[in-house]
Amino acid sequence: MSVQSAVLRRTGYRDMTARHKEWVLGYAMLVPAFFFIIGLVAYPAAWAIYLSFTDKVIGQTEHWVGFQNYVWITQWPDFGHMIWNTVMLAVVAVTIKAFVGMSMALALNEQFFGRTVVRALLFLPWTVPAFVAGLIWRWMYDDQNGLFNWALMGLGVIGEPISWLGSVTWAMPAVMSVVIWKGFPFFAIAYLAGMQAIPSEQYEAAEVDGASAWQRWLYVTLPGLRHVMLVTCMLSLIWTANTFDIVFIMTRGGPSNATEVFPMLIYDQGIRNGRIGEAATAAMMMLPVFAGLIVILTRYLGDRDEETA
Amino acid sequence: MSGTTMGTALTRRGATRRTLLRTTAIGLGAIALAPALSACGMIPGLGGDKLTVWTDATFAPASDDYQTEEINKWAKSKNVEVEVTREAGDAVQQKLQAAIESKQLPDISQADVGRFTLFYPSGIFADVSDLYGEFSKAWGGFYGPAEKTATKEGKQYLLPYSVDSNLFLYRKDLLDAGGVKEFPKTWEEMFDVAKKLQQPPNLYGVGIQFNKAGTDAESTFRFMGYDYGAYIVDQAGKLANVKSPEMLQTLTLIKKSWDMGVYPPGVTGWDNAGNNTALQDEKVIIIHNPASPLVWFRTNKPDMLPKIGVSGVPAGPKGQFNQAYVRDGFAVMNTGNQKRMDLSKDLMRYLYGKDVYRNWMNLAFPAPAVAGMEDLEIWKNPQRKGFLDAAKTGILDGYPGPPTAAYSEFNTRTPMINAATRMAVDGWSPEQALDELAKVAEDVWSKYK
Repeated sequence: MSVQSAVLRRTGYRDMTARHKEWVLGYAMLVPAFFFIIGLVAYPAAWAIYLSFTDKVIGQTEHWVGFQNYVWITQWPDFGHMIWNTVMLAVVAVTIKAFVGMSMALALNEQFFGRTVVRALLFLPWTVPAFVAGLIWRWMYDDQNGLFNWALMGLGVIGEPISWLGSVTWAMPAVMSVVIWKGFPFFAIAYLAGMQAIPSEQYEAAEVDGASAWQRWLYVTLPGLRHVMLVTCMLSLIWTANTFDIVFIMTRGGPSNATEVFPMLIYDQGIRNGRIGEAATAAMMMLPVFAGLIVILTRYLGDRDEETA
Repeated sequence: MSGTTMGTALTRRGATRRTLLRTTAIGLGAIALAPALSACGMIPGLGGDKLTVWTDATFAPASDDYQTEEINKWAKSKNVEVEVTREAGDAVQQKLQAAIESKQLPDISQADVGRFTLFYPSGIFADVSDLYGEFSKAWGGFYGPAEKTATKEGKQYLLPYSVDSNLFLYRKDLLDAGGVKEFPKTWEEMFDVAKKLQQPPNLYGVGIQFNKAGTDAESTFRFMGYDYGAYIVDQAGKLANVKSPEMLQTLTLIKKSWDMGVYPPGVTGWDNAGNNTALQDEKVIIIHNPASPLVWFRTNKPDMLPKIGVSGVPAGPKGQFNQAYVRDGFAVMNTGNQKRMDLSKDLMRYLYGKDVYRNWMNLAFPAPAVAGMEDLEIWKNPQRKGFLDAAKTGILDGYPGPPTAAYSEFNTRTPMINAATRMAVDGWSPEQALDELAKVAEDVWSKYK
């Protein structure tokens, strides 16, 4: 505001041309956004980078330690496992989310009775807070009083309870199922919106040319959804790799290190031990991967804007 | 909209750009000044004289409600506005971290031994030696574990309110039916009895978590270690030789007990509620836990309550140790505002008053931190008496050293549980698990040199 006033005084706002006035006002309008970005994005990010090179502990003065924290994290007993689990969770869950989302979108793109209600219901998992979803699913997977064991034993499928969350074989699929359940509506809705943007003439032309339903999907729908698919997959990859709440509530990374993901280390060091420097380092180690994905995404979106223009 | 058009629009409504800028400036200034005015008590309801008390939600909601009610009564009598927040899990710890960094401390925070030890180095806790002495005199002294926890360099920075312990809760009826007249004296005997009496898959012998979400088990395995002479630290709190034959013996016993099949298969996924639920649902014979299941049985399955026995920790070759730790404690925060700190101390005096403290004790499940409540009716119940005895004679985790920040951090990494799960889930040998345990200990203590 004071910047705007100063500019107005110095140049004589009344004497400016309409073009200049618009230019000044435009920049003045950007000032709040600029400060918001500096305050809420740039400053915290820069501070986190700085902290990752310090031994900052809550309530104590930090000291510069160079790359010590980075070396320390690579020597963490479960480091390799955490990377593997994080990558596997992200890649497998996003692939399945995309597949389920596509199937749902195709189904919901058809005309049938109650379609609007089904579309609304589709949103539900996405709107449930992750914390609540984690608790509900934890109960369903509970080995002692869980829904799944009760149902499977009632049906005579299993003779004794399965320890879904306590078994190395089942824990990761169980966590993944919740991540997928919570995330697929995002894909379905995005694909559905994308499908509705594909001109119906393209389908009609394909049909006239004798294309089967499969061929129409392969040669019309899929290319038409290319952009949407890329954006959803990239975004979901970033979100899923950052999954913390569901893992924390369901398994805390166990059994042993079977579901240990990178954000768990951030929580343990930062929140439980107050070692902010180490926690910031763990967060920073994920940064290059995410930054890479974001760069690809923004460049792709930029190219697409140019194509559209 | 161009600048000109916008200006015209504003003028047309009777508001010039100058007016708009002035109004915005006043608004922003007011927002910026609000915290300062609030701190000076000039804006009621935005802080000022409002005393903030951060407390934990416990497994005995009746005791929580009573305490909140009493705090509010005190506030009314003093004509003070007080805000009591009560949250479960790590919430208070997380809030405290942010409060410390932003220097916006509450006036009083509840702190258990872990939280107190972790945050003590940051200097947020006020010296309450005067109050401690006062309460100690009024109540016939604090119990040893409480005193050791609260005292740093001869002064007290914490006012312990309760001392808890993890003891063995077991199905006395099943032991009786199996001809076992008293709880086994040693760990090995306990596993043998559990193996003999269990009837899997409906009833297993022992419910101890082999999962880091089940932090109760960290103390179970640690105290097993003490009984076998396996220590993490020496008397000064410095790192001891973790790779000792005694520690290997402890890990070997854990592995042996796992191989005996006395644990329900789900223990590798249990959190701290897992063992409670298993005992409450009559699916295990023995668990190691605080008294919270007794509270649950009293409310939900009163007919089962007499069937539950309570015992101290079994012995090992080097002795028998029961755990004791400060569960509820109050820390007056070093806010620098003497008036508020005096008010906080006054509230503490109220909560340590004869009636309030005794009434709270009757509703809560741990033991008190002070002597002078041993005449309460509740201790005539043998189930509860074990917890009182542990509060008086138990040892602090981190034995034989004093509570330290290093030990507290080591504890949060649940190293004994990790060693146990490495053996149970990943098939590691006790030697491999010991190697990792020692590395974790060295890593933690290397930061405190």
